[in-house]
Amino acid sequence: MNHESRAPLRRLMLTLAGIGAGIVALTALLTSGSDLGTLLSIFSTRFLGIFIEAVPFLLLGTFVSGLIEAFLTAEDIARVVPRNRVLATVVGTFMGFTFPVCECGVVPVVRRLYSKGLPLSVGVTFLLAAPVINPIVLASTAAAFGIGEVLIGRILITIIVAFSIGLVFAVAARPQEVLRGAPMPAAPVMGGSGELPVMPLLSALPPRKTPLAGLRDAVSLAGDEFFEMGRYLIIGSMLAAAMQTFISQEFLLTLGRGPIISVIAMQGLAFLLSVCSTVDSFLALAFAGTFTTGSVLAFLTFGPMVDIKSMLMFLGVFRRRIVLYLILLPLLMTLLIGIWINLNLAL
Amino acid sequence: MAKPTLSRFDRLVLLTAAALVTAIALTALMGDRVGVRLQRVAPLGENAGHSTSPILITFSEPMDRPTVESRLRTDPAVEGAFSWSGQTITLKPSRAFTPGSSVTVILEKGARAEAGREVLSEYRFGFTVAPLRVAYLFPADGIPQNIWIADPMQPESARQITDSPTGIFDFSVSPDGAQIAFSEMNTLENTYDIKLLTLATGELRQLTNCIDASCTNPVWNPNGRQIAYERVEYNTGMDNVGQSPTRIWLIDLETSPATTRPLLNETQILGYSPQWSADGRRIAFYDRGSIATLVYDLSDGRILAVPNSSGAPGALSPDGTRLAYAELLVLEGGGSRSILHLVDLETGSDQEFTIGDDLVSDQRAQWSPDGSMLAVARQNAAAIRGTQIVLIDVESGGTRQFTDDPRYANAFFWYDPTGAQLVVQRFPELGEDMQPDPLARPQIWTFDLATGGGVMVANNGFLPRWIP
Repeated sequence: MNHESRAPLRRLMLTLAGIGAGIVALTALLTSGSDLGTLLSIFSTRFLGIFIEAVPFLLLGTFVSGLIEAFLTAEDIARVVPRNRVLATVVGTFMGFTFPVCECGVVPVVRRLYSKGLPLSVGVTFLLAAPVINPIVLASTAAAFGIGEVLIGRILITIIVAFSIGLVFAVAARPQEVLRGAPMPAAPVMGGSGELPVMPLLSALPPRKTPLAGLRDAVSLAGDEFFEMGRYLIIGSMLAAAMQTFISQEFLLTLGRGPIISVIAMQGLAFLLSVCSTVDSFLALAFAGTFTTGSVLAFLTFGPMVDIKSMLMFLGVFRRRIVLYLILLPLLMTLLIGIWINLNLAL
Repeated sequence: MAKPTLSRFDRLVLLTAAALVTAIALTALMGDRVGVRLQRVAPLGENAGHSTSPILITFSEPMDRPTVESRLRTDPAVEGAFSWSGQTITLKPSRAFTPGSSVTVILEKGARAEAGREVLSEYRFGFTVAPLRVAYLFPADGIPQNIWIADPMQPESARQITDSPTGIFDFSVSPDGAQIAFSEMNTLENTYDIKLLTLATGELRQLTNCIDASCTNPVWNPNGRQIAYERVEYNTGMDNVGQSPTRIWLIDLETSPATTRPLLNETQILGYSPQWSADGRRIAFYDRGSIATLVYDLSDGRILAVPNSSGAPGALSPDGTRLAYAELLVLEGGGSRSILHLVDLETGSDQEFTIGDDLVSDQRAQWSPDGSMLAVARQNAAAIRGTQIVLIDVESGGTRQFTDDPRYANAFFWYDPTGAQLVVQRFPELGEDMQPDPLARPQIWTFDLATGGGVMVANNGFLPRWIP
């Protein structure tokens, strides 16, 4: 089936999805007891809440991305990232300490690093781990839960999940089937694997910029990228706000008391709420008393990896199929770990 | 139409996903190896329990309450009332634990959470009940007066637990024996405030802020969540307005910080000397306005009035359904005597309880914790000098002379939570030589009700209270 023959099918599916969303919204409107004005007011408040919370981090991420473009060369990446694919994936797990960004800011940074030749697996691991494995989020988690099982569990689970998925990418993924479009590497692939074609001419790289010129370029690039990634953030925030408005969180929470269902419910809630990982610990603290520890850990690990707005932003970097994989694998892994904790550990 | 082809990467992802789904299914099939956990139990350990301590268990998740209540028991067995607060069950025993005894709490396996998980194995924890102690004010003949605590078995172990420069006016021990609420004169304003002392930690907290008022006589609700007290407004700075009559107020300890409010919104109802029924549902106090003891039911707002001219509220039975009060009777030849009455608050029947001639006068009564006995301060000029204690079986009316030492006036006394002992404030009116002793001071004694044996806990002390 060629691209042209798929287009009508895609349009049909989009139409069906739109009709389905409309039916859900209408049903929610009719059964919620609230009028349209009230629902719109709730929707706009929630949208602004999500967007305003996320936009500074996107700004920070795009600025870091600009700095990378301006000052970091492919050689730098090649020097830092180990050639061994397992070690390279380990490096990706802890890159959040170098680029402390949450899930909104990490996407443009990863995209830029890919353009500089970062191996696929390292980028994916960084993308999934950095929203948790960074000093700001670890400090906020420690502030909310103290230094104990939740903090340690959050770190360990994030590392395990991000590293495992990174390995899957390291073993078999090729850039042309993973990354969206073709603007990606004109850069060397050192470390990680032979995932990317080897850079032909290192000598062809442009010379390093002066600090002032580099900063000017960084700001300019950050501005462009901010608006480019910002559209995904806006759509994602609108979608998250709509889901929060039309899908009852109370309903999800009443479902979630058992050792298995509670994990699924909290994963759903994390996906739905799209709360930034820097503050989600304080939200999770409210559930700690009544929800299972495994489900709280699933909330704190799955949410930063994948939520509605970051899913939309992934579409700016990866192909749709890969975005689906990036949702599916963390979902199943955190579900497995959350259920195992609930059924086997007395936390 | 060509079949969509899966790349090596797609196949690896799908294989990984399938493996994860299988692992999830296997983990679920292997079942729950943890079950519902007990996050906190109390009391736990040596001397951790008081004779009136409730038993608490906090579960890891919301529970199906009947499945817990039917599986919770103690050894030795006690009956009691269950209450719940979120995931915590509280068993409040209907009678006190014996001091010094060991108690084992057993939760059988099978108690179920709302979500279906179960307590997978029997859980046991134990505690020993700390010995009873007596708190009192000391010294009676000097200032400042502070609260002291003594073990009746070792009176020499008495120790001072407050260090008030102005002196403690009165106090009340919390139902669980962990805290003491007391009223203390403020240093500058000549006003009184009620403060709360936690015995284990020494933490001190001011509960009232009585600016231009006197807040005294704290009395704990047996539920431990409220304190009733007396409040008098000084009204300084208001021309031609004297200080207000006494009214009853409440401190709500469940709010943070604690809040206060009048017991009744009706300003015409006055009151002093509050006392609670054991279930905390009713509170009795004396109202000079209506010359009666009023019994206020907090659950339905009903107020019962029991007219009497003694000026004292009497004693409310533990179940709150009966009131024993003394009524003054003017004698034909001059003089007066005090007669004890027993009123059934449900039926309104009023039974005269004092027997004997005009020389017998009953002044004060105290209910045993199970409501079966009354200890009464009786003067019987024909038989023995001084106010003595008699024990009266409420059902049969049978009377037992408990103290009969003519040297002592036994004024105030309280049953311990088990009903086995009395703590008595007594005054040695006569010395060993049966002559008045000018150096005599009030004393605090405890008496074993079964043997009649007594121990002097403190000399020159007053206002004794049991610490359960």
